[in-house]
Amino acid sequence: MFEINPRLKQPNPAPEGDASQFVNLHYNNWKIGLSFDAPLPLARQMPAILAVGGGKGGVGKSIVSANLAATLAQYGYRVLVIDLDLGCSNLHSHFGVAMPKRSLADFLLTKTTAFRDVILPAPIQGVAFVAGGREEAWADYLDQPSDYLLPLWQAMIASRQQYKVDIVLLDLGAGTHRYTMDFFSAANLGLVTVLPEPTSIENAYVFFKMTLWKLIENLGHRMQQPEVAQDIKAALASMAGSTLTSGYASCLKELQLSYPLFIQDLQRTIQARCLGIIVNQTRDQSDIDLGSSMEHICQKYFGLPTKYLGHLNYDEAVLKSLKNRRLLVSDFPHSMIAKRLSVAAAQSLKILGMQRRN
Amino acid sequence: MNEQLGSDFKPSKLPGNARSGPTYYEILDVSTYSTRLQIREAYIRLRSTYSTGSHALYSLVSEEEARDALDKIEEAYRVLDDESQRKEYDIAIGIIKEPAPRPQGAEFFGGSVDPMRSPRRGGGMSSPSVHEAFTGDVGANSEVWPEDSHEGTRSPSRRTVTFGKIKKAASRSSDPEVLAAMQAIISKPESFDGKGLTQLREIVGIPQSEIQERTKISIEYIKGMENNDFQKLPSLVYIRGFLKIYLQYLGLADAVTLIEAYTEKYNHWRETTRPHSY
Repeated sequence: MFEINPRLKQPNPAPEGDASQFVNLHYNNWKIGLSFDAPLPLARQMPAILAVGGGKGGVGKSIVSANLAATLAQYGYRVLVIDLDLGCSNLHSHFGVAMPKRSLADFLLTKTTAFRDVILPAPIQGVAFVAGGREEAWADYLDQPSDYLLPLWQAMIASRQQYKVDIVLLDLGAGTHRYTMDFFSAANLGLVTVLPEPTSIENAYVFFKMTLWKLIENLGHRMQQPEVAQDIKAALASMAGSTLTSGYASCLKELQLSYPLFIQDLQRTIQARCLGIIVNQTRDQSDIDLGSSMEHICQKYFGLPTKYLGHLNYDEAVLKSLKNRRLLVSDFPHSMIAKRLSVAAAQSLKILGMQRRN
Repeated sequence: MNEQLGSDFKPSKLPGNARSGPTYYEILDVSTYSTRLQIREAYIRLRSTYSTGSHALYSLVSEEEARDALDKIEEAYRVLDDESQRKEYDIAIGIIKEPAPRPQGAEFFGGSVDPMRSPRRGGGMSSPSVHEAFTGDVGANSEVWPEDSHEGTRSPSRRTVTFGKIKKAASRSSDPEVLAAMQAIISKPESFDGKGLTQLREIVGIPQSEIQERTKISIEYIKGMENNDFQKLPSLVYIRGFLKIYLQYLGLADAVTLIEAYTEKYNHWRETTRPHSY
């Protein structure tokens, strides 16, 4: 069912106005939660932004990014994958490409290269990627305010107009660093990969919490009410406890009495995003059920709209394809995990309100 | 402004009710129109979420809270899973304005589900003699039933008797006369097919609808099996299962030879009609 055909033509560029329904519908609410201050194109010229995060390292963020991009391209979309794991990048290895000569650092730091030139073709038709790398060059920048990332953001949102990119997929790094959360909170659909083990689940919840925090902070910045955002964050931190009834969702409802307008805006901008959960390396049914349990908890506790997108079974094919230095879904297109990935991709498209093009 | 925002959703939802907190539907995360099956699925999902040893709560929700939530879920499910309790609850929280007239059938079956409570002829059933009353009933029936089959009519009262019992097999199957007649058919398994099935059923004296009612085999399949309409039937494994419970209900608990004979007929049909399918 999953054919990687090298003779397949490049997917047709999207006709004008055929953007994601989800992006279109929530455009105005979505943009008030952004961290980046840059003029935005019209709603129908925006690419759908997907970000893959997860807090803990080694949960399969890059694997999911690379292969999800390939699967989305199979469905007829042009996908641009950006390696935002600035400290430890290896997206290119998942694509089976050696460390490229040009990387994001050339575009952002030394500014010697145009964005067009750091976009590299992936071995799958319809997918292009921007490699990270040059970790030593980033060392001084990571602690700075994230202004140095603004050109990347501008290039990203202009990519639909310039290169007819339908979906921008961000491969975020581990941890909840400021720039990671900047990009995650900017995503229309934020994917969180989880392993069915307590450490990973704990980190995923931290990641959800930081997303909520980031949105409050961004909104405070946008509305020119940073002190209100500070108050709300302080109140949330003191109120929230280890019970469902004292979760962030119910705390926010109580805070609505004190800050009606701000919380209303916050709810709107939260609803303009969707979070997806992908459980990786499942071995039995209880691992698979974990996703729907987490979906329920996230909605109750954090009040974030969360969808369980699918699970990826534990598969030796992952390691084999990495050792073969080939992309998983093109090396083992008939493996169970490739099918699972296409299910997750189809679910993502459904949330974004995008039809399969072929 | 503040007051409006704080209280804009509650009063409309709960008119004139002193209840606070989420409704049972909210606890189970289902809509008020959900079917029983959907409620059950939601319940199972939530139970696994909050059960001890669930990793989904790790670092977020304490164990006591999980236990509380689980108690609430159990309570909500207990009410919503019971149709009559659910209806009462719906009225109490104001989803349904007034009780709809209860369908006749529901009451009829509702009464008949519990054999301990259903009124019996000749009354005097006390709890220690349940078993006695049960077996005694079969005897009583075997006296009553021959009259009915002689008359050839089905009176409503007889239906009541039939449905008043919860048993695996039709009650008449233990009648020695019937057993002898059935034995005649069972002894010739090689010629057993749908016709034999019909004969067995007629000997016991029950309609197809009763088989359908008690075994939950669809009436189409019962007719198909009895008329040897193999193309209307599902695959063999289902047919064998249907035959087994069909015959069980007729009182033939281990009629392996009959099932094998029927399987042979089925295979013969298959080979003759679709020779190239294998």
